[in-house]
Amino acid sequence: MTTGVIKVLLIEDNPSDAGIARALVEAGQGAFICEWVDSLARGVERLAAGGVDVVLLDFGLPDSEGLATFLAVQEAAPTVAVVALTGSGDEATALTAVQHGAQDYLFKGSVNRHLLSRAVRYAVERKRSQEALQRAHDELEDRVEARTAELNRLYETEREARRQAEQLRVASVALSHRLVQVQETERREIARELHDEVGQVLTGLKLLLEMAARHGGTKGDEGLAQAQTLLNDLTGRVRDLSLNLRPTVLDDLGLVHALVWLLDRYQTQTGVSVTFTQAGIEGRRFTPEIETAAYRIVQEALTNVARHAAAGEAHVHVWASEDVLSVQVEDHGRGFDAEWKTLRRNSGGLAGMHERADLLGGRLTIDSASGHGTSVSASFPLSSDSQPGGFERV
Amino acid sequence: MKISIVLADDHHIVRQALRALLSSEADFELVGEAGDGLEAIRVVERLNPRILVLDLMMPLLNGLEVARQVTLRTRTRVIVLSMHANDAYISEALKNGAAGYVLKDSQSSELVAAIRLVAAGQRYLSPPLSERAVELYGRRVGKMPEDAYDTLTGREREVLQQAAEGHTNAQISEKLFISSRTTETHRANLMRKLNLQNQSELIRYAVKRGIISLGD
Repeated sequence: MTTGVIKVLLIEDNPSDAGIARALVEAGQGAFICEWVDSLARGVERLAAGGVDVVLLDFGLPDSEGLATFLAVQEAAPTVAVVALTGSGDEATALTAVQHGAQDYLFKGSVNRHLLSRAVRYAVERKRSQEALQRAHDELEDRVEARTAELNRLYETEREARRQAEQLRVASVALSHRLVQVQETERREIARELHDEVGQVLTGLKLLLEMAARHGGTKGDEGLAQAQTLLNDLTGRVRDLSLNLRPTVLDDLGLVHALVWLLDRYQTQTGVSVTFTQAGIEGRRFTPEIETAAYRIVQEALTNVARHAAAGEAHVHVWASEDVLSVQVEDHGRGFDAEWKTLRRNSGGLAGMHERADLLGGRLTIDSASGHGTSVSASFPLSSDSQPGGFERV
Repeated sequence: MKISIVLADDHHIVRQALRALLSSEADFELVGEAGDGLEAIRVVERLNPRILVLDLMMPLLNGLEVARQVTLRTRTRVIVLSMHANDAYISEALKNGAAGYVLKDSQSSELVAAIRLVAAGQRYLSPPLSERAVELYGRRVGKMPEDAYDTLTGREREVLQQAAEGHTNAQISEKLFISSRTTETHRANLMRKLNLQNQSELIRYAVKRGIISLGD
């Protein structure tokens, strides 16, 4: 039951009826405060000011009749409880009012103190429960709506994740194929070189030695001398094969020495002269992955210069700050235009360079224009624990 | 007085052969051996030999680093033994304090001569190698351009000019017919090469170089 003072608004045009009602209400031992207005208009006005808990409403007002009266009050104060007061002939209207939201109705003739106070209290209580229920209902609706939106989002996210996973899978399969292809191509090449260059010489060597053993004497000595020459030649070829695959100086002494070594060979092999400058590298080494990637990118860029640029010279610059290592190969040869650039992005060499840079969080940029030469530059971020100083390796 | 020697090489057979060789010389005394880089330093610090004969490529600690530390921390002189005849290797060995460099496939008499010369305070390089060549090599490798501006590519100079004149990356890309990503790269590269931190430093530099004048 409601405690605390209940503020009642009596809307009744008949003064004596009003008097009775007020007296009855106020007999409720201070639990009620009763205000009285004598018309609907004044009632609505009072309600607008607020602070009323329950309305005792006479349905036979001068400025309104029956249900319309009730509806007007309800509109003016939708959260205030209404108890209808009606003459005994008007039960139908009162019932309709209850159907429309009034809490209760009382017959004026048969009202006593207890009935009235009980009706008023119950009315307030019921109204508050109704309001609470409505609020709970509204809140629930809101939550359902939010949850549905959330689920939709999650569903979308999951679909997107699935799509990406599929994309990755496809890319991964393509990459595996390519890896196998590249491996086989490399192996084929190595096998060919071993067969053609090393195998042949070994066969020749075997024959010479057999002959030398058979003949002996000066002829034998000559044979041995020839075998010696052949053997030296073979040693050179094997060394070259090995160095072509991977120069030991790259692992042993690092990027700068490896590049100088590469450039010497390159100039001899291609006739393209290359100048080399460095800044900030003195004595520094970097992770093997970065040194290898930088080396291979320069190697590939120089190969392209020899093949496509028709340039007489090129320049290689390597420089490092505290957190970035960069290599750059520049020539003033033919250059190539953008469309070809996109095309070649999918070709082995260029794609390989991009990948090497990407894998290490670095960046490869190729700037070229027909008739304006080409510059290839790659940068690699250095982590704070990259090896400073020299050749410590544990 | 005998020349005390410590031998460091990770190949057991090589050590055996060198041991035999060195023990046969009357004025040599082999006082210790090591099979890896860390052990080499330990043994040298403990025994204080006159000479350390050191293989360049050893496990645990690279021969160059061993040479550096021994030279820094002791008075032992280092002779490097290596199969590499590459100027790069010799240059690094000498830079790290080696007093001698002997090729592994040279005659054994060479190592003996090297030890005697280095013990007497001189330097020694196996005959096919020359100190002059090594020095020239060292200069090539260490070649730093005096003026950082010389290291800029043609394109980077163009971008520097445009940037100094106040053009945005978008404008520069349009002018030079390159992608904005390429412009960014050029800009980042030139800033790093010239050691510039921001736009105002770039402008100051450009003014100093006469690339733009203050009136622009």
